[in-house]
Amino acid sequence: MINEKVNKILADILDLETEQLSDDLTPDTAENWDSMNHLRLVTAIEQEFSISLSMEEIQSIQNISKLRDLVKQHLQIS
Amino acid sequence: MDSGFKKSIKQLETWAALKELLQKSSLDSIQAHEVDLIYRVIQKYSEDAAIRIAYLSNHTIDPLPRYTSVACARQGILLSDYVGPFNQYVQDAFNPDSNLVIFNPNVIFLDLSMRELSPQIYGEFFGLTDVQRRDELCRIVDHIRDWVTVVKKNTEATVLISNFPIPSFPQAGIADAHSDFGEVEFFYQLNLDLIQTFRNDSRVYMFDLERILSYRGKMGAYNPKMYYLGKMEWDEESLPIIADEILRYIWALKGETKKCLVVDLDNTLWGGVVGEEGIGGIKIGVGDPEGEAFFEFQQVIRSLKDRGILLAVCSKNNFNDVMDVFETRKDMPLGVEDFSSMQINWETKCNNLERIAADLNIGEDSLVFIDDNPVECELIRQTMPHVRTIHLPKDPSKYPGVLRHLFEFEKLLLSDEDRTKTIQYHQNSKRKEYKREIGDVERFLEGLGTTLSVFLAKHNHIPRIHQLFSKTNQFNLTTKRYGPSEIEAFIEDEAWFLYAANVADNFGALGLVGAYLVRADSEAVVIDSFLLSCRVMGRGIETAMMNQIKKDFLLEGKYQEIGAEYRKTKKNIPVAGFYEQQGFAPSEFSSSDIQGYQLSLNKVEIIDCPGIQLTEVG
Repeated sequence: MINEKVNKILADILDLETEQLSDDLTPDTAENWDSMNHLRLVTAIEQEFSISLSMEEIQSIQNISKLRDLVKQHLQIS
Repeated sequence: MDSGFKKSIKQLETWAALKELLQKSSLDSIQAHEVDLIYRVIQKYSEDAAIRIAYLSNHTIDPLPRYTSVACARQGILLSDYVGPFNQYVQDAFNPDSNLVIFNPNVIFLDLSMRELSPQIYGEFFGLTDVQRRDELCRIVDHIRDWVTVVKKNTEATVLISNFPIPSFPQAGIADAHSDFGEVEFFYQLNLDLIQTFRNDSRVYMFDLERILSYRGKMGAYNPKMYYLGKMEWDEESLPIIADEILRYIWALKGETKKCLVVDLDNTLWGGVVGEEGIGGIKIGVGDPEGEAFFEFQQVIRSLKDRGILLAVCSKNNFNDVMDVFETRKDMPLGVEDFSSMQINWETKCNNLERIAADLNIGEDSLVFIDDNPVECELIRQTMPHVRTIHLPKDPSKYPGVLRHLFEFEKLLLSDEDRTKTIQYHQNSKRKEYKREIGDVERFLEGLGTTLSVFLAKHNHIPRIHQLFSKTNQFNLTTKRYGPSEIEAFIEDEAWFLYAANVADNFGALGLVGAYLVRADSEAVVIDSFLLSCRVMGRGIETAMMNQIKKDFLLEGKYQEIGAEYRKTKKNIPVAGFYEQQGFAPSEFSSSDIQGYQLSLNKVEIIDCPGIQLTEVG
C-alpha cells in the first residue's frame, strides 16, 4: 500500500507511468528528477502520509527505495 | 482524485475538453503531485492562453504558478506563465530584450521576501536606530516605485505587487509597540506607503499578502525547511489561498465579473416560509439568533448592491404576501427599491431567471443565483449551466460568509457609474413605463430628451472605458478586450482616436456608456471597436455616434473611405446588421466569423436621430 502510494506520487511529479519506476531510479537516471522536483516529491510525500522529514533525511534521498524506507521509518513500519 | 480522472486527463486533446473535465470534477483539496499533473496538461495549450502572467520574485516562487493555473483553468480561464529566474526581477524588467519583455505579459506578479530585500530589517531590526529604520523604509519604497516605472515602460502588463506580512514575533517581543518606530509599526507604515504610492495608478495594484496569510493563519504559512533547502518561502498549504486571490484579479481583468445577484426569499432573505407562517412568523432582525444571521446576510447583499451589482428576486410565492413583508418590515436592510427585477410567482425558476436576464438586458451568464433549496439549485445547474448557482449551507450563520467569499463579483476599480447603477436601472424602468404610456417609439424617444456628447477620451476615463471594453457583450462589433495599458496607449498614440460617449436624459444621467476606437494613418481609416452599454441600446445613440464618425473622418475629414468589421460572437448577433443600417457596404473581406465593411465619401449620409441632442463636452 505504501509502495503503491509512493509510486503514484513519483509518477505524477516525474511525469512517468508507474510501470516505468524501478527501485534503482535515481535523480541521475530520471530525466525530470531535478532539485525542484526533489522538493516537490518531499512535499507531496509529507502531505500524503502526514509526516515531516528532516533536512538531513531529505538530502539523503538518493533513490526510490531510500525514499520508501524513510516513509516506513516515519510511520514506524519496518 | 481517482485514477479514472487521471487517465482521462492524460488523453485529452483540446483545451475545451480539459475545461469541461475540470468543471465537472470536484477537485476539493487536491494534493501537490496532482496539481503538478494537471498543470502539465494545462501547459500543453499555453498557445491558446487568454492571459499571460509573469511571476517575479527574490525567492523560489515556482510552485505558486501551478496552483494559479489550475485555479484559473477550473474557472474556464487558460493561463500561460513565465517564471523569472531567482532574484532577477530587476534585470528582467530593465533589459528591453529580456525574457520577461519578450514574453509580453498581461499581468506581472511581483513578490519580494524581506529576507533578501533587506537582510537588516529581517534579521537585525532591533540593532538598527530609528533613523536607519526610516531610511531603509524609504529605500524599499523608492526601489519598488522605480521598478514599477520601468516595468510599465517596457511591458503592457497590469502589475500586482505583494505587500509585506507583519512578523508574528517582533524581535523586541511585546515591548515592540512601545519602542520608537518598532518592527510592527515599520511593516504597517511600509504597506501603507505602498498603497498610497500606487493608489491612483490604474495599472498597479497592491496585492494584500498580509491579509491573505492572516486569513489562512500565519502559523504554518511559511516553511523554513523548504526555504533553507530550496529558497521556497511559502508552505504548500498557503499556495491555494494565494492562487485564489490572484484569480480574483485575473477574473476582473478579463472582464468575467458577474452583473446580477438573484436571490430566493423564504429561508434565504429571511427565516421561515411567509406563505405558511405569515408575516409574524418569519425571522429577521434583532431578538432571534437566526433572525440576526438573516439580517447580516441582507446587509452583505446590500453592500453588493452599493458596489454596482444588480439585485433580483426569484421566488415561488404569492406576490402580495411578499409585498406585505417588505411593507411591514421596514427594519430590514433590503427594501423593494433595492431590486431591479422581481419575479415572484409559481412558475419554474428557470423561466424566471430567463425573464430577469431579459428584463435587465444582460446575458444569463451574468447571473449568480443563490438559494437554500438543494433541488432548485440542482435543477438550475442542470438546465442553465451558464448561470452560476450557489447552494446555501443549512445553517444561516454561515450565509454571510458564503457571500463575502465570492470572487464572481470582483472588479478592479469601482467607478461612479457602479455606485449609481441601481438608480439608473430604476430610471430605466420608469423610462419603460413611459414607453408603455406613449406607445409610439419615435415620440417616446423624442420625449426622453436625450443629450449626447462625444469626445476624445482622456486619461481619467481609462477605468470606465476599460470596464466597457471588458464587459460589453451585445452591442460590441468586434469584442476586442483591451486592457488599461492598451487603452492608455490609444489615447497617447496619434494614429489612434478613442472617443467616449456620455448620455443623459430627462430621467437622469446615464454617464459614460459608449466608446469607439478608430485607427487613422496617412492612408486608411478603420473602425477598430464600436461599443455601447446595453442599457441605452435602441435609442438612436449608436446612430448619432456613427454620424460623428462620418463627419469627423469623411465629410469634414480628409479620407475617401472608412473601413470596418463585424466579428461574430455568441452574444453580439443583435448588431450583425449594424453597419448595413448605417449605410456601409459589405466588402470582399469576409470569413465565417468576420465580415468587413466599407463606406465611401460619395455614399455617406447622415442619418436622422429623433430626439437626440448633441452637446459639447461637459
